[in-house]
Amino acid sequence: MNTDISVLKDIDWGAIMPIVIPIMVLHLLLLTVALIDLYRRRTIVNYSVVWVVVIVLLNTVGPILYLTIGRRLLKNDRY
Amino acid sequence: MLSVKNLSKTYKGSNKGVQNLSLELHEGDICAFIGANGAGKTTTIKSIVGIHTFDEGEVKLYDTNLKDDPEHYKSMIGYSPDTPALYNNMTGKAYIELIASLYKMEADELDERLRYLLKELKFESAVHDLVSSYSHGMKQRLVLIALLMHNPKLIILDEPFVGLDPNATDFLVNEMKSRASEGAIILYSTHVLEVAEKICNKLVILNNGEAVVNDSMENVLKKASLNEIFRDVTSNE
Amino acid sequence: MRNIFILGKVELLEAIRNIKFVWLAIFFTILGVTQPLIDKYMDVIIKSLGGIDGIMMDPNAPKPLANEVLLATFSGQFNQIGLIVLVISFMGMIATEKNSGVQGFIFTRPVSNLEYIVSKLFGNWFISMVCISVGSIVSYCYTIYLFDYYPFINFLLFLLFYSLWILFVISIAVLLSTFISSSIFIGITTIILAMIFMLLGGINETLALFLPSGALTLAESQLQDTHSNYLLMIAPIIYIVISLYAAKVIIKKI
Repeated sequence: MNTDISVLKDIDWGAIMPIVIPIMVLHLLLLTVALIDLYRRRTIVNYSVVWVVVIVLLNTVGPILYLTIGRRLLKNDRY
Repeated sequence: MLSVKNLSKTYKGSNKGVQNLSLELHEGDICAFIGANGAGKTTTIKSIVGIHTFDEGEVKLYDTNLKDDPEHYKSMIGYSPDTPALYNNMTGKAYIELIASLYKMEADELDERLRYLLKELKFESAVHDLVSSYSHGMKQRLVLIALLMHNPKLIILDEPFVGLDPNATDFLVNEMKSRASEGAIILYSTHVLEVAEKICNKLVILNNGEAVVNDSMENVLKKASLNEIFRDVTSNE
Repeated sequence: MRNIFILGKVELLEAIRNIKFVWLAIFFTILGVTQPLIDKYMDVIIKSLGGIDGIMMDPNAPKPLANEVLLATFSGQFNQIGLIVLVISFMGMIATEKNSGVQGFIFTRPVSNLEYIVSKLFGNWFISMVCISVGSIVSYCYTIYLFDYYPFINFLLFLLFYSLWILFVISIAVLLSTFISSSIFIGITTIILAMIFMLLGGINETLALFLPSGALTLAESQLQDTHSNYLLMIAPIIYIVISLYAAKVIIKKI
């Protein structure tokens, strides 16, 4: 999942794009789902600003961390 | 008839709990559980409704022993916990239907009882909202609806009046009386002595896990007022 | 039986409203397309870098076969990072209910402990398998599109036996939930146990016959051209029944 950016500079992008695009789209989709959910729960989730940063900056891992753990850490510890 | 014999339950690493409690309630009885915080009221109630097991003793409702046939026993009781724990992602209606299906209630039977309860508790419009949007009092009213709709033979309420508005309190008091007159057994814990004095015919006062008073309300009130007795009992530690 | 269905439905509704279905399916789809793309991609990278680094691709180097790519997807992606995220997604299924009091609500209803446990097991198994299936079907389509054809029926059989493995993993989490109250701890222990069973099962097939990871060995043999020993199904089923029974006995003592 992790790609080394410097290596990619010299690649023939034309050949690679059709292959990279689906992955990019899926990653963006996951990111969007996480952000939309965070927006809807912004008043009850703890540290919502921190989670925005985590979701946007950490590729795939960020959204997954938020969706599995972050969205359950509520301000008033009631279910 | 509910019979509790020598019920004991202690938690590991703590001296809290309840010791050797015996209790016998008949049809039509309303029994109040009174005691300072931490006296063992909730522990006793949770043992009687079957949330946690107890170390010793026996709990029987009519001929059904809680330990031998918990499902049948539980189908005859209605319980309201001290803090309502509900599925937040459901509407009130979905919650009610879920519970009704667990009691295997017929649809028309449910409709009829539900119409009455929703009207009396002024819950007709709120029932379509998500549980997460409810206030504490609304959650409690939903719990009341869910516990009354299957006509339980034994109704157990843990501090039912906390957080209820005066209208809902009135409804609950009247409902408790009328259910008892129809033959239900009611057991509830409370700190509101005035109401208990009015509606109960049995009284249990718990202190440090032991029943220091366990008598009919009539006999208790012969000696002194409820307030005085309660002060007496809880002060001599 | 009816109560299991009712409580299982609650589990599914919660997963729909928690958007768990959506994100878990997207996650497994990402895992599913990554491996076939990497295998294809490496080829292209090396080719496009070839002039600079002087690395020459052997034009006769064997292209990976579809089944090899699929196998790499499952053993490399689904069974590692996929399993970890999956376990994290359901580790709190019983613990959060225990801590929030919802379980008290269930245990005062005419529902037996076993019905509650079984509804949790199958509810979460269904959710997990829907998401895994979405991911792996996309993966299958990608793989046969980018590489060569591999019979769909073998792939389906693979998925069937793989689901038995997932059922076992969930049953460990259910069992642990009956005596551990921290969901993080339940999750970590489940992951470690699953990994240990996977490692042990990988040693040889005879040992796998006695391990729950036999389901995995059997599943993977559907993607290889080796014979399938269906006796491998027995151990996982026995392990699942044992964990359920143990969970039923322990949950009484809460």
